[in-house]
Amino acid sequence: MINTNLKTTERDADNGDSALKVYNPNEKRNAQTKSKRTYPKAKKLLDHAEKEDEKERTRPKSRRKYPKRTIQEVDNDNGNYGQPSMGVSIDRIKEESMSEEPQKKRSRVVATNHVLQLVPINKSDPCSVFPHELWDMVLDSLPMSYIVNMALVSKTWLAGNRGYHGFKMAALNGRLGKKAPSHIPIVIQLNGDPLETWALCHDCRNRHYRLHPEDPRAPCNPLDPMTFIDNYTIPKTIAMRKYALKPADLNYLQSFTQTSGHVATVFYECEIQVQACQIHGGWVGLEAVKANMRAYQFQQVKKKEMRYHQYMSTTKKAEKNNGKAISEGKKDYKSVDQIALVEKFNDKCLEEEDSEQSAAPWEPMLPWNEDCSKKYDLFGGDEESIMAGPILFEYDDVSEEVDWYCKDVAAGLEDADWYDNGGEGPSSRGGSKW
Amino acid sequence: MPVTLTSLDDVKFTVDKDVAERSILIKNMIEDVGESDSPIPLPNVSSAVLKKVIEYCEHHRNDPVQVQDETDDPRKRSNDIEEWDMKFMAVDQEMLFEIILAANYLDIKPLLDVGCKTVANIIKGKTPEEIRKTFNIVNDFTPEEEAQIKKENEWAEDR
Repeated sequence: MINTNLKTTERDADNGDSALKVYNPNEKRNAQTKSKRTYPKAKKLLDHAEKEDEKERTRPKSRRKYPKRTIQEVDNDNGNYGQPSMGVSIDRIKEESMSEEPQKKRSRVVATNHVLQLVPINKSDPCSVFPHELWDMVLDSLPMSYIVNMALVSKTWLAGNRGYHGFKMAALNGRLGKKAPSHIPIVIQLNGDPLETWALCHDCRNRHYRLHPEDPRAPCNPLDPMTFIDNYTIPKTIAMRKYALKPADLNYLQSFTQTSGHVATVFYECEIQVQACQIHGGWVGLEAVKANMRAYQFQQVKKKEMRYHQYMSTTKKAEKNNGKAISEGKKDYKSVDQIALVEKFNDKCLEEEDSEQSAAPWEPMLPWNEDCSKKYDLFGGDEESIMAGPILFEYDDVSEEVDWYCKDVAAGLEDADWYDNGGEGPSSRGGSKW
Repeated sequence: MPVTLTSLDDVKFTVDKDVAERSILIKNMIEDVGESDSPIPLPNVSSAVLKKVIEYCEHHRNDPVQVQDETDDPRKRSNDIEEWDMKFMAVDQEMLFEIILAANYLDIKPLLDVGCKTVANIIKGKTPEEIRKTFNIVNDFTPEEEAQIKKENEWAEDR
């Protein structure tokens, strides 16, 4: 009788080492059952690997990652593509070329060297010769516009100029390469022309307000619209919501505790308006901030509606498809309904602005330097008014479409110049349109 | 008391102590070691360059020592160079750079300033192409890269 559970040992013939393999008669049976199982993920991976191999084999020679070179070329160049030796001797490359190993491997050796590049020093180039601190001393004697222009000389000069502390400071102050979050597009209405979007940054709005201070718009007496109520008070929460202020902005304003009705801290609305104008850069800035807040609120509503629509469409389709939910409804909504919704919101905002404008007309924002005058002249100089919003897009989307008139502010270089120039606008050097 | 300086190529220069002490490096070395006849090795400076540096120091031996002000803005300093200094710096580019490097190593602030101003004056008013010609630099930018940098630099253009 044969004992099927009997286990014997044998040496692994392939390896020839001392690893012992346990022989199990049931192994064959297990292997058979295993082979019936399917492993889709593993199969996918194997297929992918096979495809990659096939691609590698069939890739034309011209599409090689690194150019194939003859051993003669390698010899002449010391095997380093014109770069100093990186530790691979020419003898080794020769040996490899003579061996029967595939060409692919040999090219890899050379290719590895190609990745590490050492740039030889040009002794007649001061930027290459001088250490950083010395090069910075040279740049200290040059105006910034030269320094920036010099970056075009070569890659070494570009690196040297970008590492210059003056450039770094300018980049840091002007937030170069970053989105300027304080820029809010302002819509300028022109007679007979389509609306054009301009952008004023927070600084520019504040400057304009300092040059052309605006009066507060005291609330009218509802019984007699021609008389204003100067001592009209409003509670803190309404002040914050209506004038886009933070609690800290109200710290130094005169406040009272309202005793009639429920207890609340109240402020004079006139004072709140002045404070809001100072913070947001006049009524233009305040309305722009408020419009942006409206856009945010609209986005939130839109998201909710989107979720609701998605829910409704999937459930409807699920009913049709015997309970199997599919999410095709989202695409339809994006292509048709969203546009309609945006248009609807646009109209609503324009209506609101019209009503606001009739109630309190905007002061025209006059340019204060030549460039801006030219800009106005282009449109016939017949601008009617400036109003804020509607803003229906994110800053990321708008950056490409809007003319940014605050380049000097973004650069952060000429801030001092503006004040030194007697409030007449940026000086000639580096000054720009706002 | 004379001080002996030894250059990279082992050439000895004997100069007065007040001339040698225009260099802060040598001054500190003399203070640390004390007065001795042994030569001071300057392994980073060749004899040709050291000769020029000594010539500068001898000419400016009686100048008041510059007090370095940390708050001094280098941009506000004048770019004017004295006539003698300008003639002194009228050498080939390689020598000019060597003098600047030696001034940096020997810590001779006035010479370093003059050298840097000279290089700045050479660069000033030149277009990138002219700068390349002056310093024998190869343009290693592709046209696309060049266009990209020009676009990035728009903010600093004079208007």
